[in-house]
Amino acid sequence: MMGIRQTIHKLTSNHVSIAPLVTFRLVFGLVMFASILRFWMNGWIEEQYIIPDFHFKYFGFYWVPELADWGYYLAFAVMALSALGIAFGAFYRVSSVLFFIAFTGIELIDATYYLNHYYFVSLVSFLLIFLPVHKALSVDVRLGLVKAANSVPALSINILKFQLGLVYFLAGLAKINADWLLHAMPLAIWLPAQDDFPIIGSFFQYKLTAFAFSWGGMVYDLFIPFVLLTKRFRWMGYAAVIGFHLITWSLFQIGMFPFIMIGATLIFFSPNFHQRLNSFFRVEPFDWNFSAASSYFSKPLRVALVMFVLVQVAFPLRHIVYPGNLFWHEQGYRFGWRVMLAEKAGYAQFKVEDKEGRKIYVDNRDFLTPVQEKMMSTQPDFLIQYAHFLKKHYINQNINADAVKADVFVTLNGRPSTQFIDPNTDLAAQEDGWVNKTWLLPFKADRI
Amino acid sequence: MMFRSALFFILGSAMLVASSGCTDNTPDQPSGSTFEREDMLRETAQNVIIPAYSSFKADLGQLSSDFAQFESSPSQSNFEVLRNSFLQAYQSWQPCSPIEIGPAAEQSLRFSVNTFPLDTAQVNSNLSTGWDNLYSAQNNDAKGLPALDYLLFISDDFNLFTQDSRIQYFKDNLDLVTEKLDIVYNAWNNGYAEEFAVNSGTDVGSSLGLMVNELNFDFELIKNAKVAIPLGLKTLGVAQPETVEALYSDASKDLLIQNLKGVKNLFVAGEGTGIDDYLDNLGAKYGSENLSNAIIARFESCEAKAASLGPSLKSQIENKPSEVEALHSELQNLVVLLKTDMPSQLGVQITYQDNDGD
Repeated sequence: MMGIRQTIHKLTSNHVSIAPLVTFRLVFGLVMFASILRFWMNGWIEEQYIIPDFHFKYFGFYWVPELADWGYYLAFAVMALSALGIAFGAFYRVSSVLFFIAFTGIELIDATYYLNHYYFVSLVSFLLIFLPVHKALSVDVRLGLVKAANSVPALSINILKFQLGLVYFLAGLAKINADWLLHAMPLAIWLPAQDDFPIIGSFFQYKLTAFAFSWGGMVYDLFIPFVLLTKRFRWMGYAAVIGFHLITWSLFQIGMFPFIMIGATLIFFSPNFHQRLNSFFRVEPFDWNFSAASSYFSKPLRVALVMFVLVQVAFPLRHIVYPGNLFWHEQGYRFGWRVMLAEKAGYAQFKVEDKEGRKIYVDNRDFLTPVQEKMMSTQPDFLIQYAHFLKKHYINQNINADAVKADVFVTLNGRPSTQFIDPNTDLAAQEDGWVNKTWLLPFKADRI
Repeated sequence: MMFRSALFFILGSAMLVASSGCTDNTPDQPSGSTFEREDMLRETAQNVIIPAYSSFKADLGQLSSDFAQFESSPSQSNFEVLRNSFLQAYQSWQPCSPIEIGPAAEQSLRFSVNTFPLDTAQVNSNLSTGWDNLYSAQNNDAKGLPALDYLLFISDDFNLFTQDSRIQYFKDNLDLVTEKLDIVYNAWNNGYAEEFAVNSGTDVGSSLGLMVNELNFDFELIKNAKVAIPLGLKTLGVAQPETVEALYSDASKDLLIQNLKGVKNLFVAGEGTGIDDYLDNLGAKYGSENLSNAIIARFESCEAKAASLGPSLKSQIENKPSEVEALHSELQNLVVLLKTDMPSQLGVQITYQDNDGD
């Protein structure tokens, strides 16, 4: 039996081969590079950042400046180049910092486009700034900018395993709810819409299929980190990773996420595997013969990483402090690895009232793109931000705008649409924040 | 060796799955109780879309020949005939309005045919100084059916219509509408109907996705442009009756009703299998009733509210707006179902952008 101290030492300070990090760096950098090209080619820089007159913000990040049109293109160019810098370990410190700042900065400009996997990319690229992934088979070593090393402290690999495992595990935990497990919602809506899927599509009309997918997904997410940690079942687990992500990728519009996960989970394989993988692609001859390097992580950095781990465990679970149904009010919903859990749609008729109580009915299409309108109609913090925007807009139009109210109707997982907020609330008088929003109407539980 | 074969096995099976995922549109539907979206689309095209374009085309043809008749022998009676056939054409445009899909979207048909309110200052300046191109940006609000409405109904005396360059402006605008419609009509009759039917997925570019989005878009135009704006709901309650559709002929009310019927008809595919039947097949409920019935009931109540208005929407707004306000809230009740419950139950997407499924 190993004591706790030894276990911690083994998982953090023991020196292990750098090979898994070399693969990770290469795969992550290249997938990011491809994602950015794809985003650019699809015209999304213009569509998501340049065309909209108004951007929804994250609470606490209102200060992140919106950019000039060319600024967005510059930011994406920086992202693409620094992604390559990460992949090949070129000017690594600068590349990793630039990538993190450019990527995260762009995400923070408009919360409409929040995706869990963007958040995942931000977290991983943040971690990568501090990890010695460029110390082997890299441009920096070739140029003599850093001294080559073939070993790293175990923590630099285990923190990535932790982050990946946490994403899966919490995603699995989030699936343990009545809609998902007892009603196969929302898959019972989404799967029949895909009944032209090759081979298995004809099964999608049956609710049993939705149940199988729901339960299968829950079991997969909860257990896959542990399966990947075992030596014996790792290959089986990895085959499941590939199968799971490719199926979800072909069924749903989830973009690059499956490829990020398929690439990133390679980190669970042994150093031996990665050494052979690197040799297989014959990057360059490298002496993998293990030798202990000097300790890499300074004490402050180790403390910071411990804090990071604690925050990562606690932050996604913050929703427990809010009353009511999380999927309905979405307070504490983001940054919680809740994916594919809700089919939600809303409609919001805003009314701007002047001091005499005269009203302007707002046509959302005058101000928002269809995606922004869809997101705004179901997310309370967006309702507040939009109300503030409208009030300001009409005051600038020399209208004595006073209160901003809205009739909002929302449908969740196939339930009939019902009123979402108190229609008499002056939304422009509400402040965005983490305080429980009492003007949200309670969720009507019509089934268990 | 073991390692290499394992790697090849995994990459190989990955590519197999990936490639099967890419052939989404293969029409190898199994027979059985599966709802055939392709049949629904085919019936919608045959029962609703093509007939709508056909009758608009026929009425434009009649308008054109009545116009030629008037041109050759201008008289008050020929003028009345011309006016009537214009009103007929304006009515038969209404069911085409929600079908801004495929060829119509490419041609911006709705925008070219029926952008209102009319910019009369621009029309008058065109009439006095001439015009080169009705497609130029300055003529965005000075063309199409609203321009014809103005020319024919600004005066009851046929003599004004024959003055200045009014005849030519009428002709150019009628040509523009006819040309656009012909392109769209021909496209539907030469292959697009089949393209529409086989594009039977549920993503944003699928025919169902397009129909759901455009049906909503047009319905919100009814609610906002045809009702809310004239009522003054965007101007602090100060009514803007002069912004109604067909201001000069005062045909707004009938056009509104025809538009509502047109949207409903697209939803039910006439007598055929439509989105309503698809919702039933999916088991979509609204409370204890079928969602499709709830939607149809609200359509009917919107129509009833519209029908109960006086003959002129404009004077109704000026004199007794409360009934128009009641229509507006009925329209809003229906928007809720069309924009939230319907797309949500159908599982259609509104954007190509990536999502998390929320």
